[in-house]
Amino acid sequence: MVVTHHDGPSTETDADLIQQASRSPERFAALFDRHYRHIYAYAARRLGVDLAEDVASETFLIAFDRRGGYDAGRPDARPWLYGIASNLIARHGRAETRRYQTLARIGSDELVDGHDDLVAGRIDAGVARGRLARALERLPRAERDVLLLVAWAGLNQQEAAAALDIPAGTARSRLHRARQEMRLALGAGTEGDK
Amino acid sequence: MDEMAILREAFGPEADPPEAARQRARTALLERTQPGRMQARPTVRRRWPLRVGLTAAVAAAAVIGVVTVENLNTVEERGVTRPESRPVVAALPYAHPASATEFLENAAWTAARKSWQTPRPDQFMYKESRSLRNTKALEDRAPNGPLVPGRTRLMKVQRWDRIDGQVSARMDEGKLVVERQGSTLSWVFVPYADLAELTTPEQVLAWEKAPKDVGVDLDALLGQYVLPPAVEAAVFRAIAKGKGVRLNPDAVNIDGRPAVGLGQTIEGYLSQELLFDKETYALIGERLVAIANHKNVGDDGTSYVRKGDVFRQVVYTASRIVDNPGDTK
Repeated sequence: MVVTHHDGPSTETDADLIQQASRSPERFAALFDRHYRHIYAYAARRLGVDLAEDVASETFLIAFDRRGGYDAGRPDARPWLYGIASNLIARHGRAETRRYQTLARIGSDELVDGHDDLVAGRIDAGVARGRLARALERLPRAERDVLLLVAWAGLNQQEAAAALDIPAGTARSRLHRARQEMRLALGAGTEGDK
Repeated sequence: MDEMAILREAFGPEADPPEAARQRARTALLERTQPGRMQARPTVRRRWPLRVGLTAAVAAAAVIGVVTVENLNTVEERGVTRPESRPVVAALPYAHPASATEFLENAAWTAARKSWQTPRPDQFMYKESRSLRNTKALEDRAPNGPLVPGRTRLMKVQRWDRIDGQVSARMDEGKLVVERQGSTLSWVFVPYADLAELTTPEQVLAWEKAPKDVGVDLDALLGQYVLPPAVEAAVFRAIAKGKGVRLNPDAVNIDGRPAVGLGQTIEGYLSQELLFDKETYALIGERLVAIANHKNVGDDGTSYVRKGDVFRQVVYTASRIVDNPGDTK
């Protein structure tokens, strides 16, 4: 299996690096070099850049401490890392809520003929962000985690399920409900998942 | 464009981490991968004017979590070993520690950078502190009571414990008292060689739980022993792994420098806190403070504790290895 989303030309899988780190702990830095930027970006979108720095850093410290329990049958460590990051982000629930509230306020004064513009792909980004931020704030955390792991971290449903250590069916239904809420927020009805 | 695409695009492009942040995180990870194998760096010896107020204002202000220092009883402390603050701050694992865990990681990272030379068995751990205590008359009447504002005294405590555990000394009213293990006097101690091996938090926690001749409280260990940097760092990380460790967000200004308290709740109403320098993350003291009202019912009477009562307040002023009892440098 080819591991994607990696920076650099290395052909070693994440699992290879983690296995090597059991003998040469400094090899874990190669995993850091591959994924730090993405973990940081994900945390920054959810919490802002100040907290993102700490969350991203702690994600790798925790991952290193838990490397012995990593399932070597999973070449791609992204679900594992994003799972750790998700747990850390959950500790900052209030900060995340405040962030969405702020983003919602920024977009709340702008008016747009929602449905038509959305369908045509012409919705103003600020307005869309405001509406989505409000919906994200209201969304139960469990559903928000799955939604954002897919939308912002780029994981698929199965990977999001693995990240959050939940059954694939649970991830699917949470994602379905969360997408429905996003569509409602955008005023685009409740058509099926795409 | 479906809602997922809008969700991706509406919140803008991914943020790139600042290079300094990436470096901090990478350094923290590399430190974690090499416990106990940190490069020693020269430690800057600085003069820290230590000013501890013995006034009512001290204890009273401590009640609300902020100690205002009065310029009384000024004590000058020379040669207190402190981490070099500027480089530490520049590369700390967490630039804005938001939790006890993150703060303790910074403290561990800082501790691990102290210069160190493994002591010989015949050398001594020298620990010096200033302890705020009630007046003697008050202590005799209520030995376990809270500090009473306006009726406190500052006690300088100096102890020397030989690395091999065979000699202990203390300063008693200006006179050095040296005691040796023997047929008439003996005490239990934690073998230093055992402590020196505890270079990971897992080792510290396993050791803490293991049966021993002496009871061990990790907080007290830090206050009573001069530990190798890697061990001190491991103890901080072990404490961070404990349940219920919380960051006291109130600034506690115990001796003129900003401080932060990290504590655990005991008996439901008391907070046992380690105090850290807010800027350098060095351990600078401890205190025991009530965080809730409480009623103690005893056979010999009932007593009431008010939230904010301070029971113990200690500033660490020196911690180093010396050659002889009585030496302070």
